[in-house]
Amino acid sequence: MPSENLYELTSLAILEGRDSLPEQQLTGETSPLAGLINQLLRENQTLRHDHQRAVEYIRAKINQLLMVIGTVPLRAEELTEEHLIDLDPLGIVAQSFARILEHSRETNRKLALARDEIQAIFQSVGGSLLVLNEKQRIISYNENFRASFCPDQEEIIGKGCHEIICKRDSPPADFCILQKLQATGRGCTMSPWPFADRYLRVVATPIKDNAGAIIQTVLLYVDITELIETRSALSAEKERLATTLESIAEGVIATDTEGRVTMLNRVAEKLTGWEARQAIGKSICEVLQIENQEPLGSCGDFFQDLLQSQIPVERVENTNLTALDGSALSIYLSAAPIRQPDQSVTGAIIVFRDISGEQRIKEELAKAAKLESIGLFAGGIAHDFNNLLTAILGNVSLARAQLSPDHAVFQLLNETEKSSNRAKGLTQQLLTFARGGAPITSLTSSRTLIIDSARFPLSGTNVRLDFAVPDELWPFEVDEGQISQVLQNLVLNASQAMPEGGLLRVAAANLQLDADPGLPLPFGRYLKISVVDQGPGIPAENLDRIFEPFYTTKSTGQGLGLAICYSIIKKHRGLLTVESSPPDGTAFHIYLPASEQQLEVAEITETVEVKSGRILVMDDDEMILSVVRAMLEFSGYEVVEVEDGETAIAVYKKALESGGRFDAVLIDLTIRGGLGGKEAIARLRSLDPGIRAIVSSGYASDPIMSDYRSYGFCGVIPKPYRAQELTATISAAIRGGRETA
Amino acid sequence: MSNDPQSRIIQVDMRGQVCPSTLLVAMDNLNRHGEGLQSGALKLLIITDNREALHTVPATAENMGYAARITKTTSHYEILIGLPDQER
Repeated sequence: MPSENLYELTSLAILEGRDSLPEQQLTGETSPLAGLINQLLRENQTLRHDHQRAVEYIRAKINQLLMVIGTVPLRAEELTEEHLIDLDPLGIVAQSFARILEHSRETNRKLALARDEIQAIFQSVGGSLLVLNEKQRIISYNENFRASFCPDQEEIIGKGCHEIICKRDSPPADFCILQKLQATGRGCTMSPWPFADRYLRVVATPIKDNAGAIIQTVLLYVDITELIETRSALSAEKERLATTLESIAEGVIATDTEGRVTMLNRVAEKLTGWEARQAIGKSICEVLQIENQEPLGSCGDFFQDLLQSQIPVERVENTNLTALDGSALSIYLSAAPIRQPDQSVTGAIIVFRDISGEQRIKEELAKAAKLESIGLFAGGIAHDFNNLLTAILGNVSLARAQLSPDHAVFQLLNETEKSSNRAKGLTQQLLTFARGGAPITSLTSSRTLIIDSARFPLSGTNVRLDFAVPDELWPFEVDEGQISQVLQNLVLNASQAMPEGGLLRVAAANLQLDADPGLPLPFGRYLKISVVDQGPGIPAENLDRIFEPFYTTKSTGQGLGLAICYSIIKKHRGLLTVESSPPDGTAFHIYLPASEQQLEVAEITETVEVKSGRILVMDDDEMILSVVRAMLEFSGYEVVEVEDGETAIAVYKKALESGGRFDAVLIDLTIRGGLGGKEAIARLRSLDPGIRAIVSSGYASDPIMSDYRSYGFCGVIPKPYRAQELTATISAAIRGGRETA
Repeated sequence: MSNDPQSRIIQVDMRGQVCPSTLLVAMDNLNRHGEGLQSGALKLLIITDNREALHTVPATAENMGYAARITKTTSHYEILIGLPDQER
């Protein structure tokens, strides 16, 4: 069957991909059909071929598009022909492209915005900006740069920064930030960079390509002159403040608003015992432990009040500060809130001062003032008392002189005179206590003075006295009353140190100082007097202070006794020392210059050499006038009495004019309500430069008494005095006058 | 790209699949969920064992303005795609 054969041949041709049937089929009865089949076979092949090309075209285009996107082409097995249509890959890619374009437009818009932003920043930044290319030529600059560095320059683009800023042909070999940038490859800063009379901060920032090479550089110049100057001024100010705080005498502590210490100066460290590094951050109340009844209260209350009320506290006294080591100080304290210019409070400042010393001085001054008023009172009494004693002693000595020594009354008068002499000693002490005046010295037997003075305070005690005072002791020129007081004081102290009794040794010796004995005394002849007790001794810590005024360990003591002793010995150009080694008793040593003079053995007061002459006596005390008249007339003098200076001058002038000049004048230093001795002698000397005047006073401490010669007197006689002393002084004055005349 | 708990994650598992292309499927999903991805409401998690996709998928996602993060597990890779951090 020919049609069946044709069918098979056609199927085979399709299968084998041929475009024609075998030649023999084109003949015979099937040839028209075979011709048609051949045509169809050829068309089929063409169609297949076209299909293949279309698929390849689509694949190629998809791959091309994928390459455009930036990915890799698809492998054939990744996309079969069937998926090629079903999946719609072109559609997918196209849609993706739409998104990519959209994203790209968005990115462009953002870039444009960013560029505008950068341009705005570039122009408005508070500094000069330059952008350099890889050859370090300027490709961009801002207006600030032009105004600051080259207002008149027309061409800036294309120049090197060294041409415009450094004004040179090539970049400087050193101090160029670009070199630093090239060397490190990183952004760098130079600050402060001196430029003309300004200081700049220069910041160089590199812009790199993907390979890390610098393709552009941004340079920023900021003028920091003001900052540098402000910083330097601030640092100077800080330094000044710190120096001030360290050099003031007050302690200063600053705190924050919570009361934590932020600063304390050196004085505050010393007073509180806290070191700054320990104290900072601690509560003020821990560091400054103060106690005050009124008006501060406790530290916490006080501080809270201060920060709440914000009212400064000024100079609050009677405040006690307990230091870290537990020691207590008396302080005054001021405190104030620290305010900012906007009035807000940022903390507090506390200023305090150690007034323990001032307090002590105040107390001592009060004591001294009290003592001075007692002294004035005592001085007044002593003066009157001396006048009374002058009358008693004068009358007694006169009465005795009129009796023979074997008369029954003679001995009684002797006893009266002795008692009066003791009373005289007492007023001397009173006066020394009152004024501690300059000593009125006279050549004195040291031995007699030592023994008499040491015995006196021991009557009625069970202290045994042992003297080691040699007969050949040198005499000295001392104020008997004062030295006697020193000895009495030392002996009294020693006996008080032995309330149960004991042995008190008083020793004296001549001492020639000619090699350095370690004593602060010039070389020469001295008397050393020692008072040694068997008491408990004085502890070493008290030994240094026992000569200080008002220092006492006795509950009833004034602390004056040893201080007066020290001062008296000092005024005699001597030295008072103490040694003690508890419990073996205490020794006080007195060193006094010895006199070169020999003591006259006979009492000159008993011999009356001149018993004639006219004496003018000036005293405001009638009792004194009468006893002096009696004493002088008894000795053979003629006496004229006056009660004040004016009268004395008038009488002396009248006598002078009438040719009856007075042989001597006895003048009382103090005249109540009238012209006193000091003024009287000045005027009398102008009348008669050769006047023989003797000054007398109950105030032994008056400087005129110890320095009478420079005031124009030729003699001195402290009250009270006995007849022999008075006549001896008067006759010495008259004799001196006759010798010089 | 942070793991924002606010974003919903759509998972596309393409393990063992050669055809159709992982890239085209990923792109198709990126297109289809474009709105959610751009608003930040969505994230796409592509699970694949095709190493090539580790390059092609993230590159395409970035071109479209997304960020991609690859995580390797013992058996496969996960590519998480979403908005970059600074745009959220």
